[in-house]
Amino acid sequence: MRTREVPTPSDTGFGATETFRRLIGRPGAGIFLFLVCFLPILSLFAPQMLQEGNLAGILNQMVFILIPTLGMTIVIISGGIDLSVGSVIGLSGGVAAFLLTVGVPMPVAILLAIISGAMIGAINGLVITRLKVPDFVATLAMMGVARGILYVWTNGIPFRDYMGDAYYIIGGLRMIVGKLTLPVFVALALLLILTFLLRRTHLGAHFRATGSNAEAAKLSGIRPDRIKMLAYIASGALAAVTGVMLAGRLTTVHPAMGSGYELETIAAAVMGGAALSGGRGSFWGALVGALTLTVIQNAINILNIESTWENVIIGSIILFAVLIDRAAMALSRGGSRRNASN
Amino acid sequence: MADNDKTEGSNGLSRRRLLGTGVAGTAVGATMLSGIFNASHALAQEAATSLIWGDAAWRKTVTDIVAGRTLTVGFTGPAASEFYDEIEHGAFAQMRAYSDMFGVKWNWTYASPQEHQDINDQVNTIEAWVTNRYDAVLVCTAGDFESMQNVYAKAEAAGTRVFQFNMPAELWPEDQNRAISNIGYNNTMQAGYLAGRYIAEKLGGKGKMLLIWGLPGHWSTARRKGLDIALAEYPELQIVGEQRGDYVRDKALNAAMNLLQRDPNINAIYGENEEMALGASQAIQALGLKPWDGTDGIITIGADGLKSGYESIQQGQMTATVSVGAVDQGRQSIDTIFWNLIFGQVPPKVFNVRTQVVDKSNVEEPLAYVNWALSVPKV
Repeated sequence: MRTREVPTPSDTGFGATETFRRLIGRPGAGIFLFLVCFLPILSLFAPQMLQEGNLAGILNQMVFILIPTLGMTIVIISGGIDLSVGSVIGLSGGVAAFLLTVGVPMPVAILLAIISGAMIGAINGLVITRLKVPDFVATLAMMGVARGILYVWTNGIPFRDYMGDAYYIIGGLRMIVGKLTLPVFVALALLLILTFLLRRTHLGAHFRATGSNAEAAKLSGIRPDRIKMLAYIASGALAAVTGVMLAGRLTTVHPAMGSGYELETIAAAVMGGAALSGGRGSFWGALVGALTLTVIQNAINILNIESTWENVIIGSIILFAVLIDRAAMALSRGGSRRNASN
Repeated sequence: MADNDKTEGSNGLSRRRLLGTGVAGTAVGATMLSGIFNASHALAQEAATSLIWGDAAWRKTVTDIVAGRTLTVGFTGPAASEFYDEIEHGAFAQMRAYSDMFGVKWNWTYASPQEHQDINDQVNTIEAWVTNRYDAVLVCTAGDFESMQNVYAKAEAAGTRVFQFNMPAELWPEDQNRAISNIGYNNTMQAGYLAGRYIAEKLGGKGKMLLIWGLPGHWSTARRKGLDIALAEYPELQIVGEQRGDYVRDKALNAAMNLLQRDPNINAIYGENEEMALGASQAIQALGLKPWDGTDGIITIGADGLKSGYESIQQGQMTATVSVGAVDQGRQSIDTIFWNLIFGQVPPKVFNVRTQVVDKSNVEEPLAYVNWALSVPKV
């Protein structure tokens, strides 16, 4: 099921066709091609889609899905799943909002909120690695616990009155460069840093090894438990970053804030080529997945599609995207195999 | 003493609200009360009390019949939110008033499904209350009308009386509605219609509007019906976009932004609840468009009547909202339960509280009223 990330001799030096095959075998490449073809067709029906303002709008909205999807992708690559993402977004946003209302300086409030998210991730990791609770169950439980804490804490009434001028910028309610907002640049920075870490250090290989076969990874000197812990901490922290910014974007923290994000991020990660069986996935794929989800929602709004169809359309496109990704992978593998037999 | 004054004050208000059937009577009562508070004469207060609602002899009669009884009531809405908190605080106020006046005690339980509109969860809660022999349950549910009737029938058979609040009772035949009383408002004519009328009047009957709508269900159906009735009179006022916001700000903000990117030349946005209207107001600001200033800009209107909504109106962000009488719904619910349970008095099948379009010109009174209700401690 897995593709080879490291080029083998047969992959190199066979010209443009082979390069293409290799590229479309990358996680998310299939859906990226789909998106590239799909957008111009959509814009025939709604020319506004390709206007600068709308494209910037898509980016500004997308990052709130992208950032937690980066975390989800790390978890999925290392063979897990994190259902607590949405609750962590809500709870960490609540932590930031609450600290600001009691007068804690903003940098401290934001830092503590992100730490709280990382700690929830660490608890997830401990429950999974030490108590041997399956990932799905452990994070499902955390999803309920974290959300419940926010409900008990707020008593159902949103946190309000914490917005300062700076928080409007953090939340992306003010544009900073052209029509782009600060969260876009935060997401870009995170994307580059994480890509660097996974490509240039051993971490990437360790995550993949843990996700493909934890026992084999152990034999080759990797400590899968540590790697898993790290993945969940990263996921919690990235969800918390999202929560902090979302609290600024929405100007109130409703106790239901972020619910549903866990499924959207899983969908985005999977559309981006992450394999739920572990070992496969990429951040650029996550970007394409998040972008696709946002473009679909944008198109539904702009084409003014009747709302009852919304769920059907989004569901179908997710399925379609995953099938395309699989087809692209098969195509790429088929090509390599032929070459190998030459 | 100060506390005592406060309690008396709330009683005064409750009488004003509950007996507000005649405009003249209400005005006289309110004027008299405010004069009395200034003088703060206990004797004069008692006189005013008798004029508005019974005297000491009657209160004693009621108190004797109540005989210190405890009423056990369960309260469940479709989700935990600021709106249902306001309703609950209205109930707290009325429970405290009746405890003070008649010596009745309340055993109050609140529950709402963790997931928004998780009907199964809510039905389980009601059934647990019925098993525990609650005197009454107060229900507001996103559940299907007919399937809820079966739940209510079981409750009835077990001796628990069912009251509904905040439901669009106008949608269903009264003779099939098993709730003893439905305390709420007419979503069609007292909410959707009012919002449509407000937009039409402000825009002179001409313009383009967007709708950000909630989850498909009976509230959205009823409000849409009212909006359509209002807009039928204004053919030049057109709905040019209609998208879902699922009652949450997050989704409404994105939907409004996308719709405004498509065509910024919009005159009004109707968010079916306040969270969504607030999201639309934020979208207008984030895109650098102009909020309504009384003559120009984009109108945003919602429905609920939340403290946060009123404050946003004061700050010139959201243009208007339809206050659907959350506090009065809570107070009226307790009033209905009390007189029905202890005295067997038959309430109207549908009791609609007053609603009102609130904008910058009249926001003071509803805000003060909500602030008062929220200051009443839990029971």
